[in-house]
Amino acid sequence: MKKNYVVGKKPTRLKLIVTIFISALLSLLCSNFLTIVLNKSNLFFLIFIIIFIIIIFLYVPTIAVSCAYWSVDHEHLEYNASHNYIDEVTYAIAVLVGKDNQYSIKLSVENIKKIDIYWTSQRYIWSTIAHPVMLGIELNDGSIITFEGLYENSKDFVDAIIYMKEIQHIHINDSYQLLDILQNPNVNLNEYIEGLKNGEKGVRQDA
Amino acid sequence: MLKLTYSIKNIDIKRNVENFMQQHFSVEKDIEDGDEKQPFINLFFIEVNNEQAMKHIAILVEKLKKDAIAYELVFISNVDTMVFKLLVFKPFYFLRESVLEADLQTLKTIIQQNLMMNTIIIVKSGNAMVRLNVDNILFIESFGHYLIIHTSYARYKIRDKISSFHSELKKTSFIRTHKSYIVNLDFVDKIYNDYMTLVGMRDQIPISRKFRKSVIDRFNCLPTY
Repeated sequence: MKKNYVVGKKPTRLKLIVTIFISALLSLLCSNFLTIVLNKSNLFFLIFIIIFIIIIFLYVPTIAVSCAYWSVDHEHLEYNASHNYIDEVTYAIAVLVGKDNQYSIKLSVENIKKIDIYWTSQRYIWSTIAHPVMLGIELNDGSIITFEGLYENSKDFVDAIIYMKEIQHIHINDSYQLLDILQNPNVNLNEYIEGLKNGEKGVRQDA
Repeated sequence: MLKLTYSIKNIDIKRNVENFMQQHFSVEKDIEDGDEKQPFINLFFIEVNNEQAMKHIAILVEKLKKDAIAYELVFISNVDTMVFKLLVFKPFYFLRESVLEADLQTLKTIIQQNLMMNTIIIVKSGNAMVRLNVDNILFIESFGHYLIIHTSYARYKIRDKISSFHSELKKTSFIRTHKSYIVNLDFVDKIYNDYMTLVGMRDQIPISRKFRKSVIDRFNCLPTY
């Protein structure tokens, strides 16, 4: 059976249709509530349309679509990330009309020379420092691609990497043993990387 | 012609790199000494073994930009994964201490190619950074506000205008065939009246009336083997 491993949230047509349906229900409830509060039952349809449009154009593209993902199957590795509102709206429309073959990068798996798993540091709001897990992909033609590889679900990430390593026979270089850490429920990834940064005993000193 | 600046703490590595560069290239001590008509590369060799050093690089890059100095960065590290972290600085090349000899040989080839023309570009696709050799580009397709770069191995979607991207490709084999297409003539298989085909690809690249004459002229000028 041909397997497709998706890491991150890949918006599908079904998910978007369900989201729009829920948005319509929510709009119906809100407009009903507002017409009662304002005592303007004749404006029900107008209020419903306004709320529905606001939800559709704000919630659907920014929440339902604003996510990066990468996927791998027996043939291709795809990566996609929308980084602005226009991209997200365009993406949502494309998926809704059935053009779900949207990607930022599409690679042929057989031409991947090796993949490095590593971490980096990023400063977020309130000066908190996070350590995203990154993938560095080297192709046979010498091209190098790097992107954030791990999202919420570490199991998807581990499964996809193991699939590439064991089924696709791609050389995976995990010099920080991040895969082992992700598979160990007793170790916190962020704390482990902080330990690497501080050169703690038992971890690599050169990170 | 090269101007080289070294920021390498490891004395052995520094000596190796210096000797190699002096053996293979004509090195200028001062930019002003160089012949302005000759291709020129200003290379900074910087040793980076941890993330702390990245802050210093950011400061250096900022200063070079401020002083309007043309530069290329070559990083040297004993941590292989730094190659990916340092892509944000758009390095010219990355030397790994573990395979220094092999990497220096590759650097030599790239410098030689670059002295003739720029062959390496770094683009942003989504949130990913991509470093690719323009020699591997088959064709570029414009799609709304995006360009799709097609290579034999991959496709990359980037946000750019086709005209500005074309001007970045200094290699002369890239030719505009249509308002939405740039083609690398090295991969052209057959040219028809209003489209062309590329070697090993089913895609038909359109040729518009506006660009037809220039395409045919350029194709006729190519050497035959």
